[in-house]
Amino acid sequence: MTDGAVYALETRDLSREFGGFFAVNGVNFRLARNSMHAVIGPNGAGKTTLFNLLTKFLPPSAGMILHDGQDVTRLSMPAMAKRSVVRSFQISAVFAGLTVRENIELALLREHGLAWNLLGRIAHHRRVLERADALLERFGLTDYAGTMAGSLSYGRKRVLELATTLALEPSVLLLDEPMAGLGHEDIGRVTQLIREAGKGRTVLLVEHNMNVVAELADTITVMVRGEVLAQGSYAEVSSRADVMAAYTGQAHE
Amino acid sequence: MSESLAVCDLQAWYGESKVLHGMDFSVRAGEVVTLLGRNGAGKTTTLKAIMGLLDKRSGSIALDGHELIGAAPYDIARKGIAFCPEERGIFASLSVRENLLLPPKVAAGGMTVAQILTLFPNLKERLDSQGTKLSGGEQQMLALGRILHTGARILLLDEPTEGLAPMIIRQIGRTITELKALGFTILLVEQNVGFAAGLADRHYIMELGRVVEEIPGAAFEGRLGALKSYLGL
Amino acid sequence: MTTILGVPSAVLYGQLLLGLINGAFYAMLSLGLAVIFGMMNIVNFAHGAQYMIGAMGAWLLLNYLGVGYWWALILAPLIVGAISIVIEVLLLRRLYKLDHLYGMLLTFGLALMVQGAFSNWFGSSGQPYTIPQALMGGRNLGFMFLPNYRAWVIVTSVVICLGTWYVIERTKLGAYLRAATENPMLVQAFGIRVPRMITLTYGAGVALAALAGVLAAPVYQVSPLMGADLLIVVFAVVVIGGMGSIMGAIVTGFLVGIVEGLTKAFYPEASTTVVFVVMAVVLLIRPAGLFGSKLEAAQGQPQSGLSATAPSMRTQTLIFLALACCLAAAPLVVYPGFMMKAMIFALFACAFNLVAGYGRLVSFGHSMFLGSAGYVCGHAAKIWGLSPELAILAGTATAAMLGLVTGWLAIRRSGIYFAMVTLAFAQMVYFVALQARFTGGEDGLQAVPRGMLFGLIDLSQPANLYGFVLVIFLGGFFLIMRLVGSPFGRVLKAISDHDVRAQSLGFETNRYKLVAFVLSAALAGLAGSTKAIVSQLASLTDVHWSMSGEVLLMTFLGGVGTLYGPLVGAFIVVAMQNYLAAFGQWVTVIHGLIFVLCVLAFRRGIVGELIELWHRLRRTPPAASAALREVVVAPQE
Repeated sequence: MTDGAVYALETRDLSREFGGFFAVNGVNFRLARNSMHAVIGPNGAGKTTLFNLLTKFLPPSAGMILHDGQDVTRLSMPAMAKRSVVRSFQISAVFAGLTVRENIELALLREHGLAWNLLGRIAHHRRVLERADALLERFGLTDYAGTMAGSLSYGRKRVLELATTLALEPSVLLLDEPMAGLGHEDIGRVTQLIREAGKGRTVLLVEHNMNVVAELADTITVMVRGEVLAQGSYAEVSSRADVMAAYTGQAHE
Repeated sequence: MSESLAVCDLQAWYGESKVLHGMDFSVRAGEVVTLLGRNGAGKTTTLKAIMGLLDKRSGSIALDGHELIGAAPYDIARKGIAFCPEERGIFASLSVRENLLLPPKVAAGGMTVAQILTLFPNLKERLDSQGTKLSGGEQQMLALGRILHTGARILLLDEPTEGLAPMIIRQIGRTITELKALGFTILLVEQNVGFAAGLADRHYIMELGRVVEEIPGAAFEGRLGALKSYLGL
Repeated sequence: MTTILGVPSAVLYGQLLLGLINGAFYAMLSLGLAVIFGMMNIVNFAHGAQYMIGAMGAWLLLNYLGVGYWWALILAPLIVGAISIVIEVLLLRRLYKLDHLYGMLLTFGLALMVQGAFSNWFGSSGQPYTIPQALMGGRNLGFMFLPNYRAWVIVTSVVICLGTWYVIERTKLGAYLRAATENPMLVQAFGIRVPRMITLTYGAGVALAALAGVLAAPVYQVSPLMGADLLIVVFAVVVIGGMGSIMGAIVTGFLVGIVEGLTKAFYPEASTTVVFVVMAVVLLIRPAGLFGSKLEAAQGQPQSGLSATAPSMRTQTLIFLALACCLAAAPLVVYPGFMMKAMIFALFACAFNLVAGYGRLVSFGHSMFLGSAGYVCGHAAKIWGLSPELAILAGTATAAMLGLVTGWLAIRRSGIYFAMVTLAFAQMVYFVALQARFTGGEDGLQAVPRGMLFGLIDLSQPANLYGFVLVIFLGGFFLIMRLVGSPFGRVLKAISDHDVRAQSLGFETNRYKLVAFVLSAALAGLAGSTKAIVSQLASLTDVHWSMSGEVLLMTFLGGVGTLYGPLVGAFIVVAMQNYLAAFGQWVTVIHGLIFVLCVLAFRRGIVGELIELWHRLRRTPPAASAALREVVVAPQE
């Protein structure tokens, strides 16, 4: 806290306990504005827990979370979304009973002041329709606009979730394992989408696929056993022996 | 040596989504074999498919020539296969002792409680505490100890080192070596390559629900580079 | 004579004893419910009926076979347990992978069938059952007289409760049960036959209810409906205690009994409602219940399911106009009284469907809105002399207010808990209506004047009345149609699909749910008010839980989550009541049977299945809507 810089997200001594076990243990984490930041670490390192704490999916046991320098530790998930901090989910979260277009339109409702419109029709709001069209086009979903989201392939659900999330134009985008369960072709496409999405906004991703992390992230935080082990660029982090040891389990003390 | 577990063209689904696309591999009696691969490759699913814990599976899983593909999980367990899940599966509403004694005996020759406690002395003083009040390492020991008691000879271990400190990892490594010496057959799922290297007779590398390469234990060091690229390290 | 806080001590002790007896039954029943729920995730709505069969069984054994109390104490639970095992194997087993509400609906149907059948055979009046010879008489404890049988009931139930607790918490069998409650898959992987264990657990839980029934036979009157009202109190006990713990169920059961007893001694008017007040307070302070460890998962599991794209606006308008014409012309061929009744119930069902179908909040207490609005409207028209439109407004506003308060408390829980909480609140409203002076108690509010609408239109003219009901129905239906198609309706549907995701997009989901609930309550109130004017009567029938059951039936039969489903369902159910009236209580049995068939065979309901068929014929992807979508296990690794 000596540099006085304000971070998009910052945690101070953040901890989360599950029945005596500290999944996240006194983590001081900083997400610089306009960075593309990845959190990595072996299974069980506490990445997902940290992510869930940052996105208010879980309340912390101790510590503080700041957004743009303001304490947001006690805020709810919707409140964070209203502050333009939006997350995606590891298991693709789409509204299965709505069509692809309806999914995207949903994200646009609040911004256009329509969420509490009880009697109107979305079809009467041209601006929403146009923006939805543009998003469908941009994410290659135009041909699926009328398809029920629940019947999309796994990869397409991922893309739809990303499109829905980006429809909110978030200033901070939090992605929970965006490549989980995707095939090779999809990984390339989603990587490209994330890179584009990252322009002009802050992105934090938890990801296992090191190729993707190396390609996308400018900053990497390595977590092990609930604590931050290392932080830096891919080259810095991957050259550290303790990081490799944490991954491969090879003796290193 | 006879083939203890022979898996042929195994396909499996979670609900609608297909996760295993034709797995072929085998584990011979007394061997330690690992399944390696990155997250989402289908390693855990393979173990669950062998135990019959998925909605749908097809292909063949033969245990000493007996087909298991249509059998219910409890019958598969009764045939002498024990499963130690990734999340360890310690029951919060059971004491350590109850957790330890929960799996019923499926065959003669299981370890006695005394033997298990010699293997994992840490558990001795904690027998009456609540199962989930143990540390991560102790929970892993309990999860392992629990299936040694049953008399099962084939152990399916899903990432026993996950989230554990190096010292505990070494202890678990020693335990697996001891178990091998005692004649157990072990199918191990690991992300921790270094841990797996020291233990296994053979390795299978998995990608997208298939086995893409088989590496004998001796050739492991030489293939480490290729392996790391497979695992995306 | 000594008094304690102004109450004679004998009265106080007497009421405490009575409270303990009631508490003993609450404890035994909620214990069984908790064990069954833990293993099967099913709220056994048949629990009250099974308790009743236990008591009736003892009575039948005595009167028809000459088998006495002691043998009945063993035989009745065994027989009822055996029957329930058959039910589990044949019916319940099919539901484990579905939404938990289906289990509740199916067992509700079973309860209706059993209670209806017994009412037919034995009448609904109570039968006395004599206390066995060995337990007659009593003893004087100095401060009070203790009848031996009551002492026996308390001691036996404590022993049974503690015995059950011991088996579950301290034995190997209990360890299997606890482990299977936490993680049935893993327990199977250890070689334990979990399905068989589930069957036996259901049998044992139900046997416990039957045993309680036999114990209760000499205390209360034995009657086919003795379990129905009791069960609702037990649900409240379960919400108060939380489903998590066995000891919690036992302690809460006795506690609630004692609290009731004390209330009866100090403030008798509140004794029937106090348990529901306690429930409301617990929901406010500790939503998970006194002994509950955590709330049910916040619906994190994605719901897979497909729903039909809404037809275009033009098609919708055309259908609506066609409907309006049909209904306007109907009195030419159909008896207008039937049409009006059906339209009122259709509005009620459509209002219910707004939350149950589009919001996925299945309320088991919607009768409270229908009934309370009816009373207020009737009172306003009859006593205050308000014109019908103002009386209806008053009734509707009352229902909306009631919806605001109960909804605010109930949406803290979801799924089956939401169902139980709403049911309990409705029961509280029922008791208030039963006791309050202005409702006319058992007789109801009679001779409600129809009056002059806006001071101009005489509603006592049949044609005027019909037109009035038609306009209200069409207006209400049109409103619901617009709501469902509006941005708000879209948000509501999204929330029911994936609550957490909607939150992450910035929607405060509970506010949307609450608004939907209040709107639904208000529209149900509109139906209830209109009903009071049309039938010139507001009665207890409309606030009774069986009315909540009827609206559930209409909606599920017609197709939950479809626009026209509740309408179709309401017309069918009302027609059944009209044309099958001669069959008396058998109608209840048929209702129950329809529930069971709906849950097992056509969960989409009539309209839902038709939409599905239409899509299949047109070879478009299958796409019928079912509000309670079938849960698909999410991939995990």
